[in-house]
Amino acid sequence: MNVIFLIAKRFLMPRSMLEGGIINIISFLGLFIGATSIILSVAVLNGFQGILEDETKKIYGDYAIINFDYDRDIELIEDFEKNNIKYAPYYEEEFFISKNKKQSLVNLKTIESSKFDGFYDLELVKNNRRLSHGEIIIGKSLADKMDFSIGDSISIYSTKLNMSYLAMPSTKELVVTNIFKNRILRSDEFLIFTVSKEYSFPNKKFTDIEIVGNIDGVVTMPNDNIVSWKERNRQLFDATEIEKKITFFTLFLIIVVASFNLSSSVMQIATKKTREMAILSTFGMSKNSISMIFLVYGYLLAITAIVSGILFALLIIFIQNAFGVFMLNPDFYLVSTLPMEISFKDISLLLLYSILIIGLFATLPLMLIKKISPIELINKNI
Amino acid sequence: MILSVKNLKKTFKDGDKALEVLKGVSFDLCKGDILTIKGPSGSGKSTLLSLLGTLDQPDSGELIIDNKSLKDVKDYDLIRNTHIGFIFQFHNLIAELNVVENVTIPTLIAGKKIDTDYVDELFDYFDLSNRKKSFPLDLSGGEKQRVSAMRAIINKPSIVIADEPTGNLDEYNAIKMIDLFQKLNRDFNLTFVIATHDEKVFNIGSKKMKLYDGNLLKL
Repeated sequence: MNVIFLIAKRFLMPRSMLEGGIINIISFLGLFIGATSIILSVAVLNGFQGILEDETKKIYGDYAIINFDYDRDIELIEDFEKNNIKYAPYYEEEFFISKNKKQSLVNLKTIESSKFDGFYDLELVKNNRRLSHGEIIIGKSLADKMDFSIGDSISIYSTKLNMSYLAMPSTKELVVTNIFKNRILRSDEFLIFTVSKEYSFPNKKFTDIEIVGNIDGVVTMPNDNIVSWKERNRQLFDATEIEKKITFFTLFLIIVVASFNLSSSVMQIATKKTREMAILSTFGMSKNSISMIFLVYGYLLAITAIVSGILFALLIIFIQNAFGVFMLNPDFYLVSTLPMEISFKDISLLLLYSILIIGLFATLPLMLIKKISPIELINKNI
Repeated sequence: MILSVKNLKKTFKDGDKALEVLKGVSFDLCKGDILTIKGPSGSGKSTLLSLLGTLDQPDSGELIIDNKSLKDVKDYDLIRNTHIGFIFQFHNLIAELNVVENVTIPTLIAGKKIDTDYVDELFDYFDLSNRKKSFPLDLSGGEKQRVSAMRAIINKPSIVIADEPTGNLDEYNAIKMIDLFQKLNRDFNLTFVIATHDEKVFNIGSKKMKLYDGNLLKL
């Protein structure tokens, strides 16, 4: 075994607590807690982000062609047909709903009738996924707000100014056949699903197309005409990404503070071990090698603590995902247990940044160690 | 000649005052010689040993080890590692390393592979075979000093420098240490430079000198 590594390892595991054991434990704990906090916090944010993604996809599909142009995009549709990729042409219109002095602005999403069945993964109150012309599926929040129930017949009024010849806004009479639960982007407050009767694709009435499934092998991405669910909701997902980054870097400050502590530990151990430095110098170890012992010691301590912290966090994540120890109120959080998702990218980033920051802090004491001459050490200690 | 010391001078400065500790020390040693040096405290014994051990450099004079002048040497660490073994008044073993690790530290520093047969032979020779995995704290004073002697000779050095090697031992262990030095000298033809206050140790010298007023006097 390399002599530097051997001695650094032994300094890390002293035979007596007073010979550096307590110093090591305190430094270890700082870095351990820092690493655990980062991985757990980021896992929770990833978990919620995952739920956000899943719920968004249920309403908006995986991809969409916005402002469909027949000449431009028909080849894409043919490719989808060939490869059994599910797609649903639709158009959206804004309407008012009014009932007993309560009013609400809604977005009526009319989907081509042949494409609706099984396209959207909606959590429905009634286990009937069929939808005919003149029927609608509304969100639970809207139903609660407007006091609508399944079977109710409701009138909706167009917000457009093309009044009928009677100077009345155009209206539609629709029957509520089901209620969906999906609070993502507050969609259950304003989104209403229905299917078309008289139009079928590629009628120009359909302006957009939503797509479900993996189109990587079918279409070369990125494609200017196709947007992902993430791009359609960029603001929300950019916000969650920023939140994740800010959390990561805020919690990384724990690692930075613990690195200060580590730096002080390396210095304390070096001060305690001047006799050993003198012995090693006497038997021919160079100053650089002696300094390396303390650098390796610092790294061994830090990496052990951080890896232990990561493993501990992974254990908690595993327990949570397997047994759902931490419960949540689903009315507020969409889920009944705290979601946690492991991100190996974040773990790699944590390790990389830690190695850099620890390298910096563990190197600082070495500058002082290098200034000590062996003869001074020997005169003092031997 | 295994060691040749020519007109070695060393002065320490204390503020404006200059303290001339060694005023021109010269001597030669052949392989297998035991040089014992005595002198009052502060006479410069430890300074002389530090210079011989290349732990410190003289102001002037020349040191030749194994027919190699150290004047142009830049890597004193290598010289210490390969040519010189040290035994101190206090055993100075590393508490975190076990006995065998302490003994083989000079070999590991040299980056050489440990010759386990040779190490086993040494442990048998020093009667410490059953203590290989022990830690210094678990050893008696005599055992610690024997381990430190083993560490000094592990790299088969040209000379072994011992500064008050029995200074911290009781009489029984001191006598055992003296016997050990003589045995090592006899069996391995080792060259020793020993600084001591102990007359018994002083008397084992094939060459005996006294350091007095910065000069080394033959006795």
